[in-house]
Amino acid sequence: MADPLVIRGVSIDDTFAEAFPMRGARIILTAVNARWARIAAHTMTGFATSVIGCKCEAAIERELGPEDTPDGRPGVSVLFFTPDSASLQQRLIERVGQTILTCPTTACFDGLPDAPERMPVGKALRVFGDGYQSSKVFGGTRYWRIPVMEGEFLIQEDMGKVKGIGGGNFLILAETAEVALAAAEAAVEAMAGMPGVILPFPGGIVRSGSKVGAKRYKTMIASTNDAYAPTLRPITTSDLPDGVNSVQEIVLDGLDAPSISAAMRAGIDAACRLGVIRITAGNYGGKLGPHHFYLRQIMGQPTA
Amino acid sequence: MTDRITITFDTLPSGGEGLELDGITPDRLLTLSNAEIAKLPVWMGRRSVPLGDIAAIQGELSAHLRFEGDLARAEGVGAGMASGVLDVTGSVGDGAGVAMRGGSLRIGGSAGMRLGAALPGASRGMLGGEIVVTGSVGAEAGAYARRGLIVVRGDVGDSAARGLIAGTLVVFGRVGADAGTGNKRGSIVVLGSTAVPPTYRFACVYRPTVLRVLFGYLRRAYSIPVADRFVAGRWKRYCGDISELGKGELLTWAEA
Repeated sequence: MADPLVIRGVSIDDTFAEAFPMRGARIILTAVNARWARIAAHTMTGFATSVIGCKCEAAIERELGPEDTPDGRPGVSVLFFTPDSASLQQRLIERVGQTILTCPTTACFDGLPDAPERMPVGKALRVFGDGYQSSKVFGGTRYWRIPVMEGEFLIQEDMGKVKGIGGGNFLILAETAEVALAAAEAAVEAMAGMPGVILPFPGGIVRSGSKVGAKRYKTMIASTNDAYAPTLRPITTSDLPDGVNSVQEIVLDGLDAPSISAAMRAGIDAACRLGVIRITAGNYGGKLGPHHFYLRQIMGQPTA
Repeated sequence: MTDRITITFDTLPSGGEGLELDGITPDRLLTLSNAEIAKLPVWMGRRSVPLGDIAAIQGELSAHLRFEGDLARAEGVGAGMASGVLDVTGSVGDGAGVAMRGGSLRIGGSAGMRLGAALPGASRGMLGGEIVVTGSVGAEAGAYARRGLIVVRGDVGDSAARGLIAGTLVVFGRVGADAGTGNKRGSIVVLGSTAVPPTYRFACVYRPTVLRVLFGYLRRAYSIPVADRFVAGRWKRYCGDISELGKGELLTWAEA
């Protein structure tokens, strides 16, 4: 058996996060200034925490300077994930159409130019122009110009689509709710802006991690993770060690496994602070998801 | 295979016969050996001569073709090309890039008449690709172009973009008379000066995001130093030709 891994007094469980295949896209939003680019990104990625209820998972990947965007304006890179290929295109058409087309000064571009699979998002939205739209091709890339009351909305014809990963995670078990939240906030800050990864839950943190299905309500596809709910410790099969009174979870979606591993490494390291007792991860015994992120391996230690 | 095929043309006798180079394009040379390229026929006046008799050829099996030498009287440079890069170090004659379908034609000097226009009798000109001219060009540049991008860093002659179907002509200098007559859906972008044709109607002054993308692309892909005042500035949009669909446009720079 391998020696226990302890980082700054925090025990790291010898377990793994079980993650699932997703389809992902990277969308570049630009605007007249960073404020409007942020507004566009927040609006587009709102209510996109979990595919369970939101049909997609999305969040800001990072902010971009004018030198990093196709139109030389401030921008934001957002990542989008859905469980299947067809729904990714549909969700993007809905969200770009309702939140970016409508948002003052914005333009919308693809952030995965090398992805061979393409989704005709701009091509679908062009018909808002009611026949007055026009397209331009520069360097083999087609852009649609859609006349609007403000002036003109510009959107790239197609967006790239790749096989991504959803559901990377780790749980922070702490002495108090204050410590758990502070450690989770530190983890989120450490992972902020890391390429190819998003944390789709509010502020990057989930307080209500779930288990598959429910014991009592058969129609529920997910319900409270009672094994980690401190208020239920004496009346359920609890996985909480003595001294733990609150748990926060970090959930990650990513464009590839190395991106998720790198972000988990940074996040777990930042979460190892005074008052945190243990860090573990959620899995289903490895039977449901093909992607397994072993915490010890991620932190540079061999697994047992 | 080499990085580039370079064809260095002999100096043409002054006052002599002109040269027609349509057919000597990167897409057609892509699979040919050096010896096969040398055997390709080109028209010199009324004579067909092997290319190797009038030019030195270096390289083979490449999608990047370079013409060197005096080609000011050569017609049809890059005509009908479908892909690859054709890089011309100096000036070219009439009909460069006519009926072009794809690829990139870069002319280091000036060009004659009918740049990127239609073949005689054809209803459509350029169907795709990009032409960038460092100098100025003659009359009827981009006439009847259906797709594609033509960028002229100098001036263009009269009747530019005549019958434009849907392509784009960008002019850094001055535009001659009667530009854009019969324009259906195409775009004429003028950084220099032009007269607004009588069949165009003023629409608005705005900052087109599409020009930010275009100028950014020209800076990156062709190292064209587009000034910031054009990239971020306000532009006047005129719709025309209203005697046609009226869905074409003339964009002229207004102010920073």
